[in-house]
Amino acid sequence: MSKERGTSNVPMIMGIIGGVLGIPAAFCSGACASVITSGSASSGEIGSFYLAAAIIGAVLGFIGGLLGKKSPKVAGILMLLGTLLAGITLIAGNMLALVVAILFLLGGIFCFTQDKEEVTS
Amino acid sequence: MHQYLYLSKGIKIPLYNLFIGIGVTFAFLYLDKQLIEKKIDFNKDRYLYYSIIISLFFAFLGAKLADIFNKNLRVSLNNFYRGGFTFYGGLIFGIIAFFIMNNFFDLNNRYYLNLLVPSLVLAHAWGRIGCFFAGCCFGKPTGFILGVVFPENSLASLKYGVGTAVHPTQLYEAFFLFILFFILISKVFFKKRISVYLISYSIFRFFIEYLRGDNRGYFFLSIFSPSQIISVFMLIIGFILFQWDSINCK
Repeated sequence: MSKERGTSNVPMIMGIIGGVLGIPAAFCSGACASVITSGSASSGEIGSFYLAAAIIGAVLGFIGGLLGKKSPKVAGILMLLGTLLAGITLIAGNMLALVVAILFLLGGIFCFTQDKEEVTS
Repeated sequence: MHQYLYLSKGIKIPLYNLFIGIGVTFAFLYLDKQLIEKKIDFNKDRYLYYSIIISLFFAFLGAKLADIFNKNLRVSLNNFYRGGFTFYGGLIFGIIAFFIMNNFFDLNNRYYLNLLVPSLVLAHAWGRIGCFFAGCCFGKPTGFILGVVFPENSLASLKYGVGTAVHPTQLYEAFFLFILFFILISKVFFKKRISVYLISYSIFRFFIEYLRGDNRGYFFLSIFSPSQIISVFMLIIGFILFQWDSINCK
């Protein structure tokens, strides 16, 4: 049975750096969201939502990066999902999330556009 | 000590995380290079990555829990978020998870652990440079020429006073780990990588603990830190593996 394998290290580098920066970005997002909505009754819940979204995004992007060569399509989807989740947390005004989202986006695009080679197993 | 790299007014990148990222990246690049050199089958290569991803999750969990345990804190979500990492906790949890996942995917534990050890050392070395920038894992006060004065808001200055030079134990460890990495990849027989790593790192860690000035945690024996007790166990395991490999390599 033949399978496709990626050849570029770019998704891996983007995924790892984005993932490790995504964790502090997640805490910033949670805190920023709580501060912005501090007047409302659901301030804590909003903060928790942003925190969870950013952490899940960072983890998905990190895993996607590691799988960039092994399963390029799955990795690309995971990294774009990571971009989306990191992008959502930008609303809270956390600029580190912008860096993370850009890294994941570039990694995701590279996953789909990199040269691929057929492997038989 | 520079905790952040300022890209612009609103964007500051934590250097601790950045250096961990650089270390993990180099670690995976080196692992990839080895997988190509050893001509590992594509499916096994992919299963190895699944195994590593799951192990990394448990290593993260273990490093956090060990830190909570070391500092005698209550296990809570808040302490989990705010606490630091303990390398040995991550190593033990990570290796156990790696063995379980390898058995699940039918991968050879010893072979892949030998393959992984240099990458682990490389990531750890870069991580220690990150520790230096973050100002954690600092040493005891010293008049030695290599002593480093951390800024006034740092953990070392809060503990020993502003302007006190302390041992840069983070850099000692990073230097040792880089040397160990080059020895492991160039001088050590492939089958003996794990044992050489366990022996050398545990001996180094046991003695560097005497120079560490940060909170070393509590255990039932107050003369030794938890890391020193784990080092002794690691040393024993390392010697047993070394002997075992010596007999089997003949």
